[in-house]
Amino acid sequence: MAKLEIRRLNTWVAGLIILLLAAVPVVATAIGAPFYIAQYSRIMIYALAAVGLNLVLGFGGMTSLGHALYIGIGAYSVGILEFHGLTNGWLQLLAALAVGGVFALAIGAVVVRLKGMTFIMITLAFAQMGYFLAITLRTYGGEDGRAIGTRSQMYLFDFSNPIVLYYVIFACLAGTLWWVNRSITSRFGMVIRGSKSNERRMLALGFPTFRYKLVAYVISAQVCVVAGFLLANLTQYASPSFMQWIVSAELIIMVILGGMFTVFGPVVGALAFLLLEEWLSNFRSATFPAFGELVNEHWLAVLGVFVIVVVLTARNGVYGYVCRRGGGQ
Amino acid sequence: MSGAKPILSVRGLVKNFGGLLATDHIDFDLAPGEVHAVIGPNGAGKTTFLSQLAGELRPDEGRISFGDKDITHMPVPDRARAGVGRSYQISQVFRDMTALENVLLAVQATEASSFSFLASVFDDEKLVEAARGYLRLCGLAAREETLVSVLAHGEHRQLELAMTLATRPRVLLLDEPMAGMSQAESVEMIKLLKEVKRHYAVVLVEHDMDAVFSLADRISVLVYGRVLVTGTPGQIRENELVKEAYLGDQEEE
Repeated sequence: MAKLEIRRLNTWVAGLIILLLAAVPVVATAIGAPFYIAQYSRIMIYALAAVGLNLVLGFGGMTSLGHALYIGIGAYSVGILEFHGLTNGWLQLLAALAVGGVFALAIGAVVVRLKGMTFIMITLAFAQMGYFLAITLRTYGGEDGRAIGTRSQMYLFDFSNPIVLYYVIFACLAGTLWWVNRSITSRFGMVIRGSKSNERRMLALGFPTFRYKLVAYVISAQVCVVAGFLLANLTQYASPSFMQWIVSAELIIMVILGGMFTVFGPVVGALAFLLLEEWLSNFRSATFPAFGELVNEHWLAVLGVFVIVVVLTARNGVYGYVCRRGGGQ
Repeated sequence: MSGAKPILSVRGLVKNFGGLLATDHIDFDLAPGEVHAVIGPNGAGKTTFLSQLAGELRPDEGRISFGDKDITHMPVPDRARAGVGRSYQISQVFRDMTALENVLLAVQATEASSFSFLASVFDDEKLVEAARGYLRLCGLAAREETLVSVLAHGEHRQLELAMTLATRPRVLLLDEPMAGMSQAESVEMIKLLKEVKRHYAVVLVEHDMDAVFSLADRISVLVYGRVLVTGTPGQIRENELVKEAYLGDQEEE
């Protein structure tokens, strides 16, 4: 299990990326390119969601194709409450976590007993229900979603200042990484990993695995709720498209791309995925302009090739490759 | 031995697999401190019987008592916590973890709850020491940090036993602990089990007759899901029915 430990190459790589992320607003302001702040804010939000997903996907062996639902719950909690004039961010966050918790407990109680393809399909079905429910909410914009006039009022933190918002997102990501890194060798983490490795044996040892897996699922979902809450504040929008199944799938791709048996892999995956998306869809070729346009139009296909190459050559993603080279397991 | 009040007692156990009577009205007692072996030809229903004792299979009829408790319908984890420890014929280990981690999890299973989210298990001296103790007992002290997937088959069997012991059971259900072992490994395992049997009551399913006759206090012979006869190793060796049904077969091989 690729834990972050000093004296390992992967820890240095992870540390370097964290430092670079911390420096983004400073550099962006210095070179007069503030759009980088929003871009990396968005990347970190997806990284946060991917780290949360990886808790059940990588460590728990539960392939959820429905975590976008929780991003949606986080975003709509801001959107709906703001519509009714409640702009207190802490209350919005509390409501988001409460609703997310209820949904995650109910859905988790059903899916956590399932395995393999059934697990994937049922989580997808639940998320699609959320998606279509959001579309029917005419009051809150229906299919188009709804622009959020006033960002969450967090008092200590002024979300209308992009730099403040950036560092709040950064802190959420760093804190979650710290906790996941601790938890995978905690008693709870051992039980989750054991349940993935050999559930039959876990039961025979005397672990009631269901309740541990359910708690892991709920925590994982809540991380995505927080990501959704932050996303609504970044984009000032709550849209059904946040809960499209494509978003769930992209999160899975980020996790796999970065390395799903690692703590930090999903961050690398989110960076790689979203930066490639950005680069490919703006790709210009001076000598072959037509080729450039082809890439712009079909950037997903190019990205697909990249994902295939990574999965085939580095079984544990880009970051997993670093872990192996660095003497990790 | 059979005079003492049994720690595990089975009455009228029946398991039917769509017309095939895999367990046919079995009565079975395990006295405290006793090794009660279950032998029988392939397909006699030994593992099916053991799985019902462990709770993985639900019997269609009958009753299983553990001490004074009726555990017939108790789920697997609860049974394990109550003190019924099971080892598997095909090693059920955590292949992607180290040997130490495997046994750590088994020790951890004896604690009230594992809802602890921060402190590393490796910093918990008591936990680690206990796990090391079981590894040492089962001859795996040198393999602590080795990934289980690269351990040899015999070592998997040793680990299997270490994990089962680490849950501190009162009754051990051992499903062919010698399965697939070399001659030398078997001898080591018999030695280990002789040590172990002083502290536990054991239900032993085993094909290796040397092991059975050197370890068992009592033997039940299972044929077609039925107990053909129960007796001391001496009685079983002399029993004509058994010779016919089982031991005879083996000598011809």
